[in-house]
Amino acid sequence: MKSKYIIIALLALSSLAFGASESVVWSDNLIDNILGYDKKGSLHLGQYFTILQSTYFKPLFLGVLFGVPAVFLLHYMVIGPMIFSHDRKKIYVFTLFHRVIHAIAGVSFILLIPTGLIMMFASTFGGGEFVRVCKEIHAISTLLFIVSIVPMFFMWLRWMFIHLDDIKWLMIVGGYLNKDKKPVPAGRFNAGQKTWYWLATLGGFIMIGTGAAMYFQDIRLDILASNHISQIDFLRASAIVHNALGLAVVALFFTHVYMAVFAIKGAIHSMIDGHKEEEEVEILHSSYYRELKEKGEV
Amino acid sequence: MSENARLKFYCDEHRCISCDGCSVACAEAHELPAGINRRKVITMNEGILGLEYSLSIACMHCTDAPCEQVCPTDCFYIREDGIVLHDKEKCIGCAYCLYACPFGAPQFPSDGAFGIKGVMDKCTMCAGGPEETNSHKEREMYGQNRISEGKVPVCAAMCSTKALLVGDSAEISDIYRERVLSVGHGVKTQPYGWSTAYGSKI
Amino acid sequence: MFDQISGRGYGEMKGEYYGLPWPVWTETHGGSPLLYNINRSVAEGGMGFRNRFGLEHDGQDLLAGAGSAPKDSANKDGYPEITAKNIEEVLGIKLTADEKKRIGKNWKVDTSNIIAEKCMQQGMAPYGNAKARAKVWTFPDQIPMHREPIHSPRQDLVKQYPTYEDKRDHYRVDTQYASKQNEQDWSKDFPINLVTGRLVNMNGAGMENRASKYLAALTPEMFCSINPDLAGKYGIRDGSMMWIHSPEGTKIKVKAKYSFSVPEDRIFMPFHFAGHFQGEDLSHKYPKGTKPYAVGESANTVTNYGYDIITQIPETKGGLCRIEFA
Ligand code: SF4
Ligand code: SF4
Ligand code: SF4
Repeated sequence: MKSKYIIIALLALSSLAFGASESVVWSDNLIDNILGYDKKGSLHLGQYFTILQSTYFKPLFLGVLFGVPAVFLLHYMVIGPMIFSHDRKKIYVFTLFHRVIHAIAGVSFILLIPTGLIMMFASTFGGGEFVRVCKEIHAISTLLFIVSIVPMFFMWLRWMFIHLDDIKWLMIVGGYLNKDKKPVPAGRFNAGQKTWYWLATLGGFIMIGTGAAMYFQDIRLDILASNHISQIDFLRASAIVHNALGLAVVALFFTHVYMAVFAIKGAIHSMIDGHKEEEEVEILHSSYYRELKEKGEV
Repeated sequence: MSENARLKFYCDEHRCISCDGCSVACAEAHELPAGINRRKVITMNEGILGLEYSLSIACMHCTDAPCEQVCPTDCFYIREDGIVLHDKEKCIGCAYCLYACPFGAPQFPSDGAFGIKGVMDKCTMCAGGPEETNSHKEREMYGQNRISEGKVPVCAAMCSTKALLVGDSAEISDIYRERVLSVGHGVKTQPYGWSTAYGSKI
Repeated sequence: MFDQISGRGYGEMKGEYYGLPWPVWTETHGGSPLLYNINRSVAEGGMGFRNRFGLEHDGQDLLAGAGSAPKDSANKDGYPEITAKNIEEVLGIKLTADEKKRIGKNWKVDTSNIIAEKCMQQGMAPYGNAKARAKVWTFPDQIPMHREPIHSPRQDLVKQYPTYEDKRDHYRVDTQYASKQNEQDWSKDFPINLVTGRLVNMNGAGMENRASKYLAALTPEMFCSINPDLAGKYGIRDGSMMWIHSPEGTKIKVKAKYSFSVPEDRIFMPFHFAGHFQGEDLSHKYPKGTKPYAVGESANTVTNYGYDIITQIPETKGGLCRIEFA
């Protein structure tokens, strides 16, 4: 009984937001749409979107989809994984809260990325009901993404600011180009992880915003109107940004998974039981290890 | 119609009186759901003396249609006669076609709650869709297929000022050229005055 | 078939006019396309003015002047409308006894159509050939003249062009004119002109059209066209609601629609809407299933007092109002 009322209330709310108002795309704004294509003074976003979507995005995604794993396969075969001693002590690095949030984010990525790619390559899947379902899954898993990425942003924020170590780390590509167990300059998170963090959070927020804009189409933003940006140009920009960022997200997601599962043997356990091998910390997060040592925690 | 005719629309802004007859005829003929305007009349510079004009806009069935280029499902197909159509069974409602379209032609019905959008609908130039011609299913999904019956698209057919023209692009431009050239000669653009109506003798 | 300019038939349609324009005098007459054309014979569609207002007024002969009858007329001058009594004299013919028996009283009620037939033979119009009049001696203004509306935005013009005296028993209603106009300077409290009119998609009263899904969708709401400069003075934004108050003490709440089509001294509203009254939505009172797709305030709630001096038609175009942001 109660749930019925909740549903009715939600429906009423949603109709307030979307149904009652005239479409921002087609009502009087249709003129802006037309003028905004490639007429004088327009942003030419229509053209750019058409060119990008018709000729560049698909090959680029294909490149990332196969190129990144290929590079890693090469890395795995030529250099191979880092294997750290499992005999030394374990260091407790991730609390339960961290791990749960990370797990939710992980699930959302596992849902978002394939469904997103299926939409991008919809014709390969024949379009229709299957891809439509994927589109809805993509939308619904965004909710999971939101509930994980917001706490994640705050819980790790203080370790994520740029540090001198990061530059050094980047110069030696994190020490992944050889198998020497030389200490790598990095704090609790290395430059690679930081990049992934910023992409996943700030980039993630942008993905959420642009995705929602495209999904609902009619979200009315006064800030756009007051800056003379037509809804349709906003949507075009959203599509371009969403796809471009998507490329980066897919590439770094693959990297993240490769690192955790293959490149560093056993690294994935830290996100399951919260512990890292002491040697792993000593080598890969040497600055952090020094810190812990100074505090006498190891 | 010539061999390589491409069917096109043309709306003569010197004639359009923004009566919205075309858009209502279209909606009525295809029984479009609420919120879908396959055709729309827009008025530019409303109320500004000398600059105001109106135009009837729908899908322009572009050559090299941008919508067709960007659709991730490749559900568009362009007929021999240039009509740009799409397959609603393949369409996923991603709206990429809308972003690419210079005319804001693709539309998306709200599919129930939460503003979720359904699959795309746009002007078919009254030529239905990929379903069996004049079948019930085609009618339900894409509206009337008048082209197959040898009829003119309903919007242009009912345009009382003949501002909205549809047909072979070469012929349409001939008509337009003739109209432009004949302003003030022969073709009556002014109301009849005394001399025309009564002869100049009295 | 028909000439595009004169409407005259040719070929198979010879002798006809496009659309059989009134009056078509007899079964073989092709119609009369022009109100006044004396270069053509009456039988071929020519005609003079009808003898409508008597033969004489104020010493003026009301029949047409000498020599001004349509071409091929037996009578070259003006002549009165044809009746059974004057037919022989005016047309200069003799009727047979049988015709005299069958002929109707005058051309209007002559079901035998003898009058028209005879007129055609003589090239004459059954309704006579008279002068047109530009003066209507039965109207208060025999020649139209400007009078300021009762609710005028200009007091100086009210003095110069005052309205009529009050009219008692005007179709059984005592109707105010001057007393209303002079009651106060309406433009002080109600400074803005109020004009109402028609929308193309609502063509008539709007009741049927608002019940049509697609027509109603073109103007789904009642609105008021207002010049942005005027709206700015009252803090009314495009799409925001505004009150319109009339001198009658009534008010309506409508959506402002910015438009440069209306000058800064007036607002325009369509008259087709109904269902709201003075800011209150009463559309729930429509019998079940009959609520139109588009409802809204009726503009006539705020149109001003005032009635036509001849027909008692209410004044809907010349009123005043006061507006405010709602
Ligand atoms: S939908 Fe737009 S881009 Fe596609 S053919 Fe029609 S007008 Fe052209
Ligand atoms: S909305 Fe449909 S037709 Fe348009 S691009 Fe997406 S899949 Fe193609
Ligand atoms: S051609 Fe047909 S579908 Fe297209 S706008 Fe005209 S009436 Fe509508």
